[in-house]
Amino acid sequence: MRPIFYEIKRTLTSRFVIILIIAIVGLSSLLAYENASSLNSSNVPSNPNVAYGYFISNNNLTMVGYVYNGYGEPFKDVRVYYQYNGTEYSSVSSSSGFANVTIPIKSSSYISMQVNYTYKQFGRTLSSPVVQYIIYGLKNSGLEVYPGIYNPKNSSNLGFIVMYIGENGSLAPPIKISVLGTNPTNFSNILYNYSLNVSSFSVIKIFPPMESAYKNYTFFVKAENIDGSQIKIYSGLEGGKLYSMVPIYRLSTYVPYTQDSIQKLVFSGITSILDLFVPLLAIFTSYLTYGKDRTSGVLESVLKRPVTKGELITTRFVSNVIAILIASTVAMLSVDLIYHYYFSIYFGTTFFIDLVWTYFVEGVAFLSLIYLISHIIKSQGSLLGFAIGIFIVMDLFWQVIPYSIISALGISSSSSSYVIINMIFDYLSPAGYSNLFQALLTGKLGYFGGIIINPDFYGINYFTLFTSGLLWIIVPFIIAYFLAKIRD
Amino acid sequence: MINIKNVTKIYSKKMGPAVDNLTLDIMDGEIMGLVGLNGAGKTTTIRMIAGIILPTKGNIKVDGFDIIKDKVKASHNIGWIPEFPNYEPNAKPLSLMKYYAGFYENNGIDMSKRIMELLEMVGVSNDLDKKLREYSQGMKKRFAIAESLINDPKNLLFDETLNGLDPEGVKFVRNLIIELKSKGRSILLSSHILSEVEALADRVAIISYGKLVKILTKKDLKNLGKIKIYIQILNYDLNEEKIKIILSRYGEINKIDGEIVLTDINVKDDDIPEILNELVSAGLSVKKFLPVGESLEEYFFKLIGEKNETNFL
Repeated sequence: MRPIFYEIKRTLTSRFVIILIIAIVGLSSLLAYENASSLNSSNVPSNPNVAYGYFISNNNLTMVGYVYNGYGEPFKDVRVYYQYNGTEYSSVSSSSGFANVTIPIKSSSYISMQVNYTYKQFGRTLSSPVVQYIIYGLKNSGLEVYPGIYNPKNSSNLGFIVMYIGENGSLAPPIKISVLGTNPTNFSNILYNYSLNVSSFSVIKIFPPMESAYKNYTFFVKAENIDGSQIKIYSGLEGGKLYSMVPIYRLSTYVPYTQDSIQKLVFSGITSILDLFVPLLAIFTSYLTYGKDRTSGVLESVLKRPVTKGELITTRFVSNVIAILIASTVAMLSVDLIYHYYFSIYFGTTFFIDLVWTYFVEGVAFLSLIYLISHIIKSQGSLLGFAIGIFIVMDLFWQVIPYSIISALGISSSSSSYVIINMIFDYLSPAGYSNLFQALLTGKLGYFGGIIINPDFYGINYFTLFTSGLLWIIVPFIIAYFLAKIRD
Repeated sequence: MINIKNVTKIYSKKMGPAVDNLTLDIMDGEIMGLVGLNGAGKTTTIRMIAGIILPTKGNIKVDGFDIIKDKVKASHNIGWIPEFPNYEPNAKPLSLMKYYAGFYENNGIDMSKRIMELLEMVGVSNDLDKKLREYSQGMKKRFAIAESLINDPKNLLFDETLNGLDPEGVKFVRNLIIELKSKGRSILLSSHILSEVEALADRVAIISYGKLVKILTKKDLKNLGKIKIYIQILNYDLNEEKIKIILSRYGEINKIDGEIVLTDINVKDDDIPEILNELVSAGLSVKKFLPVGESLEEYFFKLIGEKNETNFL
């Protein structure tokens, strides 16, 4: 085995590194999920809904109940109750979502049915309100529209379920479903028109493609046969009435995410996890795989081989760098995928590279520091103490120090001195590097709410950040490298 | 071959040099013993040869390659068995051996096979599932021997290797050193068990306070200090006068346990066989005639001027 592969394998399979990588990826993913799901209006309600329809054949009424979740997908194990003439009938929804019952009836001219459903959530049995479903002279419900389902891909709440129950339960013939949008101030103008030809279904979910420009429009659904004749839409829940058009909700929550908003979202949460754990991973991985081996003498068993001290330190450093790169890249990929799932937008390539670079620099700079200190401190215990000290001072409490100084000096938060002190501290520790990138990308500098600045005015641009990042990585490592070569 | 030339090592300016202007050559097929008191500079010398620490002055060449300037080539031919081998505690012996093997060109050798052979040879092949932190000091030393021989180096450095080994281990190492010498390997053997050094070494370098005090050859080792001759002659009582007349010319006659011990011998070492010739020519039946020098240990203490054995390691 080539030594570099052994070093990489050793680093990546060490218990500490595995735990930290899982923590970094897992916690940033969890936080991304939490952010995205709470901000996204298409947060799937855990409660089921039921779309009802029916058909009458001979003297039997078949009630069709389609149980669905917030996405319009089938919801199983829900018991749907149908109460007719004092007798209760019920059925449990299958994996296809249907919970149907067949009820003997005497007359089909007017039937009043009380319907509701129960389901289990966290061990409790919950019950929906009882509502009336009216059958009024028709042999089958035909077309019914149930609005209010969400599209997980685009944040729109403007989805709806179309249920078609034909004669004897037959499927829908070829029809055209249209969604019309009007400006809230002028209902006569149709400003949005979307049509879809569908056929052969009993339940179909439709999500009209929407854009934010249509926010607050009022939308209606109508249906036509292929020959252009209108199909009335039935509503058993509204007294068995037939409608030419059914209103669906306003497009009120559709706010498409942009690169700007997604960047702000990342810097408002995910970075706090990475700012804590990436330096932790870097500091203690470098201690465990290099500093400890060096101070305990383990490194000597390698150094007696045909390898120079320079090669050995470089090999170990590279294997540690790979761990940092994997942790930050996988974490960012995971966050990106989660955000894409909820907001239908991937991080821009530049932003993704910026983020990975930020945490790469932050981690590798801490690695370099520990490598450097490993060549200054001789005892294992002192080195561990220093490593812990560096983590506590230069990472954990680093952001507190400038605020303490600012507070002690009575500097106003609207002054330039306030910005400059924050900025200096961000340059003085690798832990501040993500703050500088945050300032560059979002114009916001500092923790505790931050302040809005013009980054260019304070010299925060790609050149200065790239240069300072490189210096943080290279300078401590180069010193460590030469100390390794010239000292015992 | 290892050439140490004018090597000095200073750890701290406050203290004297740990090794002071040391010059020593260890030839191919030679076992060089390295003896000295605690802190004499033995381990420092060995660590410098192994390329672990850097000499302050002077240079060390291994098979002609400078250990500093040409470390990779020089280290190709060095095997170092330290006094206290120290390994990655969570590593298992097989994977660590494979890692170490990766540093060498295998030259067509089946390294996996060689690794197993070495681990079997040193007797740890039944403990391959254990992590090295679970190994005893003796087992670690055995593992150290195996990993040091992984590339069959031409030069070997044994630093107090016999320490911490059981009697079977001591015998194994002794035989191994003899076998390596027979293969033409140059060996530097540092040990506080002077009898072992005396028995194995072709030459012994005595160092004190970092300085080379003396190098003893095999011949010197046999005749250390003043020589005594142990003599047994049949029918001593019948020939007592004749024997006394002959021997008194060469030294002082002592009689211990029925044996003559001739001390303060006044002829050169090379002329000692003449004494035997004269006894035989006088018609005496000589049963034993054994010239013996001092032991290395006796000689060492006399030379170093130390009497306190407890200081000696």
